[in-house]
Amino acid sequence: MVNLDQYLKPNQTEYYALGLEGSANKLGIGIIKHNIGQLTTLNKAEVLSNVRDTYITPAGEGFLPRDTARHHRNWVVRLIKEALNEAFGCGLHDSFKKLDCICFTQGPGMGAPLQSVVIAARTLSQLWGIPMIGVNHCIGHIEMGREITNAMNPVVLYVSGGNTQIIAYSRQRYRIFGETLDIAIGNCLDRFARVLKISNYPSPGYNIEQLAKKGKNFIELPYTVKGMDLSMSGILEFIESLANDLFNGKKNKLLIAKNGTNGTNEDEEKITIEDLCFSLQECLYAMLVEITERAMAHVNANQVLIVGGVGCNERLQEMMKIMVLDRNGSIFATDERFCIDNGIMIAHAGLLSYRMGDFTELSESVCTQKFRTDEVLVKWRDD
Amino acid sequence: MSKEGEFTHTLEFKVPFLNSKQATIACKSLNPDPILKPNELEVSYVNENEVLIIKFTGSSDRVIRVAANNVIENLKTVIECFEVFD
Amino acid sequence: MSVEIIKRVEQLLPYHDLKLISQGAEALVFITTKHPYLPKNYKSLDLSTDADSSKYIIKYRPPKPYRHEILDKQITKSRTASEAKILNKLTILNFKTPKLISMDAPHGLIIMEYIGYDLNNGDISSLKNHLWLLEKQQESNNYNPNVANDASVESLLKMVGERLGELHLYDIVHGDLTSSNIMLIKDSESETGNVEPTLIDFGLSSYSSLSEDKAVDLYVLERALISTHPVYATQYNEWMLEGYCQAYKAQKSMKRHVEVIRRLEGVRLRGRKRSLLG
Repeated sequence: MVNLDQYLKPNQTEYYALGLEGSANKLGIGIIKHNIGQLTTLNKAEVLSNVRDTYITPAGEGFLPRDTARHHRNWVVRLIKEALNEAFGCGLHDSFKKLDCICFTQGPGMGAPLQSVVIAARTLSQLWGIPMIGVNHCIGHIEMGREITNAMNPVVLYVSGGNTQIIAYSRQRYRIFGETLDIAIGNCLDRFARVLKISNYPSPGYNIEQLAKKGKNFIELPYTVKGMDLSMSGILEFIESLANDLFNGKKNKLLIAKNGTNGTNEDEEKITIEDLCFSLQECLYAMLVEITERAMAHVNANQVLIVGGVGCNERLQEMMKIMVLDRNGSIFATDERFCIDNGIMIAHAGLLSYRMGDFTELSESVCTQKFRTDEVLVKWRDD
Repeated sequence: MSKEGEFTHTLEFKVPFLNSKQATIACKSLNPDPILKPNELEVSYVNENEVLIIKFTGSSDRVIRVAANNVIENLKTVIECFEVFD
Repeated sequence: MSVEIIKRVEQLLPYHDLKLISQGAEALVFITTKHPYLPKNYKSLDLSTDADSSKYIIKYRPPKPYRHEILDKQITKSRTASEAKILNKLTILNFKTPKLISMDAPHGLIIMEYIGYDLNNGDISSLKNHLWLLEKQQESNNYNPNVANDASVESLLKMVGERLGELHLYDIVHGDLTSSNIMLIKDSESETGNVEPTLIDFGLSSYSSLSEDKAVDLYVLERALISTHPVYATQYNEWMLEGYCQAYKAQKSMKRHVEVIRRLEGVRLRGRKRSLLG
């Protein structure tokens, strides 16, 4: 087992890290505490604070990099203050003295928002005289998910606005077994929500999920699994055009539900928005569960961990659970505090790096839009 | 490819801070991020005591305007950090 | 494993003795000694086959309760039917693959001839297991001999590439290439048992003449090699692509080869671009 305390300072018994996340439309700040020694079920990381503010755009609009960066700039210092207060109580000028390091998302993500947050990290790192740790966003999700759920060595399904990956650990790397060949699942849902002009609050995916609960007619959509990879742009295009026909009252025989079991019933029922949401979810999530099962079979794993914003979806969790139980395995998922982008996961993953003696020099602290999960050497694991 | 000689437009900011420590920190916080279009623009950060001097040279006033705007936005975050935490 | 699923297949095939040999993600694979329609103890007169005529493979795609019933039925039926069709087509083309014996698409059943053998450690002879065994052996032997310059591995990977190239030249794409979906068979003619790769598992296969689809096929395999054999993947993939090129050369179709490889570059690039957003 890796010794996580090789760089322990004299008399130190615990570590504290501040984490800043702003790779997409959420700005998240968190403070985590590790006691010395291995992280085990008896020695868990402690979440001292985990605050977040989401940049919400009007219905029908996505978030643009510049506007999102402006949002993060407006909130970053206020949120850091709030997180420090929540973690250490009042007396700001002493509270930061407890911190060992400042962790920030170095990528992947949108360039301008990432850059707007790293500026604060650099300033505070110099002001407080503590090192910075650049963290890969995906590694943050994976490590936080493992810590919260106690999943030891799961196949990880990482589903968010910008990513759709199926990942498993081997030889100190989180390796990508399958992923989307075009757009991410969250992006697909967001874009469909824009077509429907439904609210972006609290998130477009959540609102699609609520509509889907009221849907009952299943429409066949393209189903595009390629090995452990999948493709979603064709499905989006297909359902977008269905939705447009529905809005414009254009005749389309796909928009008439076949009532009755044999499909010959004369009672015609019109397909609704709810049915479209329902069918889209059923189709996309079936593909996700299928590639997860493929990865499980491929690496002989029996644990599944779902991370990322789309991981909150109850239907996805339910479908995954049925599949996993069928394989006598176990499923792990977190709630929206940890699923949706947050600062605490950056703090946690960054602190693991810090405890292995890593830190990021100012000159190396440039953020990068492209930063693959398997580029990171996972020093804190050697299993 | 533009050459340095073609950077006909310039702009200079002098930003005074409370002390030289703050000016140094600001300089080092802004400095690492690369210029997106180095053949159209150059930005240099120097601090003299408590003053941070930012020089923009570029091929058009438009590229300078965009860059200056961005630097000011970043400076705001730096200054806000000082206000709250220093 | 789920007893219910096994019960269900026993109900569908009441006269067969079934031995479960693998549970993949999509299908369960059983061995049976009974041919679905030929009389007992019937010896195949078809001398062209390498197959062991005392054993047959039953591949069963059970219903997946996690997905919507309509979707599930459609997927099971179309994949089973399409796999059977392609197996049949490949047999006609004389492309080495397990021969189709019978199928029942609505129930997700395919019966085909048995191929493969047991490795030294008892695992079935998939390329993945074979390579894993070699990789493990050499690591305990202090990297001597090294898999990355092992001539037998080199020729094996080249043959994999050739097979895939031949498949693509028939305008068939596999759709699910991994090292587990490549079985090794022993050449029955040679006493030393020369090992040869055979592509299996054509459930996601389709006909396509598009270079793009062939490039995605190569990309999927490349990525599967990287994730499954991280240390040696680059070398494996290089050998595989050499073999792939050979197949086109043999058919004097280098133009098509160039086009596929050009597309492959594009698919790889898209792969990297895709991680733009967190």
